[in-house]
Formats: sequence, C-alpha cells, structure tokens
Amino acid sequence: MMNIRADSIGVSFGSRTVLDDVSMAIHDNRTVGLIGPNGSGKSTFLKCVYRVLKPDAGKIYLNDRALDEMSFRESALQLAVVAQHNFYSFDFSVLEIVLMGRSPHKKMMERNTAEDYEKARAALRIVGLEMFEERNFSTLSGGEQQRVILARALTQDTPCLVLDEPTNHLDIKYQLEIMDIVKSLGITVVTAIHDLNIAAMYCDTIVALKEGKIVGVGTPEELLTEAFIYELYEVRSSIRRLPSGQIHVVYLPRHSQEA
Amino acid sequence: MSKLNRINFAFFMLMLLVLLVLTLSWGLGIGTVKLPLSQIYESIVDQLTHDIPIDAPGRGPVHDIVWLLRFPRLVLAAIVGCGLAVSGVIMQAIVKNPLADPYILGISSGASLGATAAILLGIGAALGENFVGIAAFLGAFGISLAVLFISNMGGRSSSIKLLLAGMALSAVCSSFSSFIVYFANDKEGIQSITYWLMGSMAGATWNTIYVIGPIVVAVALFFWTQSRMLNLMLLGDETAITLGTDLHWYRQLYLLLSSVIVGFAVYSAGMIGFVGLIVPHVVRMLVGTDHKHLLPVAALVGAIFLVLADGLCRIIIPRTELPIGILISLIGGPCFVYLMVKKTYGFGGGQ
Repeated sequence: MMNIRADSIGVSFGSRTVLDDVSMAIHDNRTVGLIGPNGSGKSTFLKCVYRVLKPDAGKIYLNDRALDEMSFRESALQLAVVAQHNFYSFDFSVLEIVLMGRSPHKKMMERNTAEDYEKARAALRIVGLEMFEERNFSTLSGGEQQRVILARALTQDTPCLVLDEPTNHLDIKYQLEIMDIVKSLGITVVTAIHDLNIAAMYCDTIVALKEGKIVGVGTPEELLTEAFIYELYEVRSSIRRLPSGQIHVVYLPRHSQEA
Repeated sequence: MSKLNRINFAFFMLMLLVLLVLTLSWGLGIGTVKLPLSQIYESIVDQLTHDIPIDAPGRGPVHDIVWLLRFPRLVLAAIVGCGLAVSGVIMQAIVKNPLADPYILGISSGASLGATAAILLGIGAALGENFVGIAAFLGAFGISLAVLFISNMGGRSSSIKLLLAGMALSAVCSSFSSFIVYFANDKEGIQSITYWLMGSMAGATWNTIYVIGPIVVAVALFFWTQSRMLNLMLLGDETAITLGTDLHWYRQLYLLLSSVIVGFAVYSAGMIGFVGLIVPHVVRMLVGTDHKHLLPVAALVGAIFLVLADGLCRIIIPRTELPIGILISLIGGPCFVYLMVKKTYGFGGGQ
C-alpha cells in the first residue's frame, strides 16, 4: 500500500524558481507519469520525492507520514529509485550491485542471508540478466546497466518505485521491456517520461509540468490532445487512435506542415 | 561474495596470516649478522616463557639483536603497512576515486610541514626525543581537521569539495615548508628532512608499538564492521540516500579515523608512499570491490608487503640500509604500470 501526496512543493535554485506550488496525489498501485519539456521540473520534483533534494516549501507525505520526519532508512523501505545514469568508478559485480538493494533492510553488521541472495537472483531473473551475476557492472551496455539498477530497486522490495527518466538513452526494445517489467509489478509507480507514446501506453495518470508549474492532469486520453501538446512543447502533432484503443502521437515537423 | 565463498575466504585469510608469520621470521634472520633460525626460535621462546623485561641488560647478543633491533622494526613495518593499506582503501571510498591514497587530502604536506618546522626551527623540541614525529603527526592531523572544516563551509561537504580543499591546503603547506627551507640555510637540517621524507623503520621501539599497534588494529577492525557503508560510498551520495543512508557524517568520521592511522604511521616511520595506493588495487584484483573482503585482505597484504620491503632494504646493498620509501617506489612504480596496462582490471575506468 502506498499513497503519495505532495503538498504545494516549491524549489528554487538561487533566484530561479524550479518548482512552484506543485501538489499532487498518487494513489496506490497507479502508474503516474510526469511529462513536460526539458527544465520543466520533472526530475526536480522526483528528487524531492526520493529525498536527494529538500523542497524549500511544502511537504511530501508517504501514506500520510511526512517524509522529512522519516529516517532515510524508513523512506528507503517505502520507495526504490531508478535514476537517470549510474556510473560507478569502481568495479562491482552485477550481483554485488543488486544485493545493495537489501541495505535498508539490514543492520550495520548484519550479513547477507541466503534469503537476500535468493531475492537478488529472483530480481535478476525478472529483468532477464540471471546469467550476468558474476559480470563486472562497468562492462555492461547502457541498457543492461539500467536493468541491473532496476533489479536492485526490485530487490529493495518496496511498495513504490520512482523512475527518473530510466529509459533515456535506451533503444526502443529496452524502453518497452523496462516499462513492461515495472507495469507487471502491480505497485505504485511514479515516473518522469520524455516519450509521450510510452507515457500513453503505460500511465494511468499523466501530470504535465511546464516551467515548474502543473499545467494539466488527466488520463492519457484526456490530456494528450493536439492543442495541449502544442501548448506544452510548442510542437505540432496529430493524435491517432489504433484499433486496439492505444493512443499514438505523431509529431509533425515544420517541413511537412509547409508542404 | 561473488568471487569467494565463505570457506575459501577463511582459508585465504589463513594463508595470508601464515605468509605474514613466514615473512616476519625471514626478516628476523637477515641483516648484517646472519642468525640461524634455531637461535632466533630459542630467543623468542626464552623471552615469552620468562617474565623478564625485554630491555633488561645481560641477555646476550642474540636476544638483543632479535628483541631490540629486528623484531620491533618488523612489527612496526607490519603495523604501518596494515594501517596505510587500510586507510588507502578508506580514502578511496571517501573521495570515491580510485586514484586516492592515504595522503591525498593534504596529509603528506601537513606532515612534511610539521617535520620541517621541527627539524629546521626546532619547534616542539620540548616534546621528547621523537619530537619530529610528533610535529609531523600534529601537522598531518591538523590538516585533516582543516580540510574537513573548509569542505563544510558554504554547504555540505562532498567528495569533490574534500579533494579540492585538500589540494588547496596541500599547496599552502608545501609553500610554507619551502619558505622555511629557503630561509633556514641549514644544510644538515635539509638533509635530515630529505632523509626523513624517505621513510624508515629504524626508529622502532616497543614503546611506540604498544601505542600504535592497538590503535591501528582497532581502527582497522572498526572499518571492517563498516563494509556495508563503505560499499555504498562508492555508489555516491544520491544512490546511498535512495538505499537508506546519508553518508555525510560517516564520511567525516571515517576521514578523521583514517587520518589518525596515517598520522601515527607518519609519526613512527616517516612518509612511505605507494603502499596505500597500490595494495588496495592489487587486492581488488584478487577479491573484488566488496569491502567485507577487501579490507581484511588489504590489511594483511599491506603488512606482508612492508615487512618484505623492510627486509629487502637491509640486504639489497651490503652494509647499507636503503630508505624504505625509495625501495617501495622502485617496486611500486612498475607494479602500478603493470596493473594499468593489464586489460582485465579497469581501475574502475570502465570497459
């Protein structure tokens, strides 16, 4: 069970306001996607949720408990994070990285039990990398590394997953694969997404941010209209509906509009 | 435990312990006076079974050579090697950089400044016969505190801020040392600074060992209990927070404890480079990056390495003792290059 509530979150870096009075409620077992152009505050908002940033104003509640009253360990038991890029300057094996997902469950001196190994291996099986456990993490491809990080988040065993543009730089196969895995878990997911088609395919609710403010909330069908996409991104598009009901956003470049 | 299971690891540690004992007994046997193993053994058993102070007079030349000359310096070499290797591992985790060594955060320049001031200006001469070592310890520890303080100004410290503060303070200390040397006009003093900077185990006494030994061992054991935290440190602050730990305070605590070890190493043996850089890397190649295995193995390998080096220093040129720093850089440099060009170990540089 995991409900997240953000109460008028504000963040500014110096004189620049990055988030302004952002409130949202994310309900249990829902997948919520944040969309918006670069610099709209998607990542900043997520960083406040996973506590790398402290909001200047407002509060975030996990199941009605204020985040800033929880220890980092308590919040790590509630939410796991897959962030944009993970570069480690030391050579860890894949299994070692995944096992670190057990950290919030462990006391300082406690050793990893057979159960922890079982959980880590199960997570590697879910992301399809079980034969990679002895491999050196830094020798994997970008897509494989991102799946290992997803496996670590799964090993953390939390009722909520935060994805900070996890599919950036991945080719389309892995983008779909990662989102499929995440969707199949049946837990609360908050994710920043660049690709509107992926957002339309996987999100129950979409929250649109522009210049640090929420400019739209709704289901993909409600929100993703040609007019709204132009308002958000200043890009012309055409919305198609496939026979399966899936929404498809086709972007119209300038030269095709002139023709 | 990807590369080693528990039984293999215990066996590996046992082998290293045996190797340490073997190198220690090798070190006892060599030197200007060749002692057969049986005499050494007798002398050791004699001391351990009789309740007589080690430095009581009239115990015979074999006893004096073994217990007053060779044994203390070998034990000191083992302790210093262990301490430097462990603090090398810790420093690399603190600044999240595989190129870090125990002296990276300005500790070496602080120690040199302390030693220079003591030798050339006579500062701290009232502190007893090893006042140079004490001044170096104070310099080393003082600069660690200063680095911590500066890196916390204007917001939380981070590994980058620590590194930059260390570099800046290091430059300031070096220029102060140069300033003192430039105006001192004391050839003999300058020579003794140079000699001191090369490092040596010759000043070892049991009294120093009684102080330094327990401290180094205790701090090393403490760090071993912190393996989980140290692993997280290598992943960076943001990832650590999402995994339930704020590293901020741990980093500062580890830095202080680590500078205590380094300070004592500098106090008792001068500046010995390369051990703290190369041992952690060699051990990572053997047992992987997990600190649960890395730390104890690095501690033992560091000890063995320095005992061996100290032995070689005494025999490599007949009737002359080579400063240990020279020998270690001579061995360490090429070893490091070998590691660098060997493709299977990336220094964390990736592919």
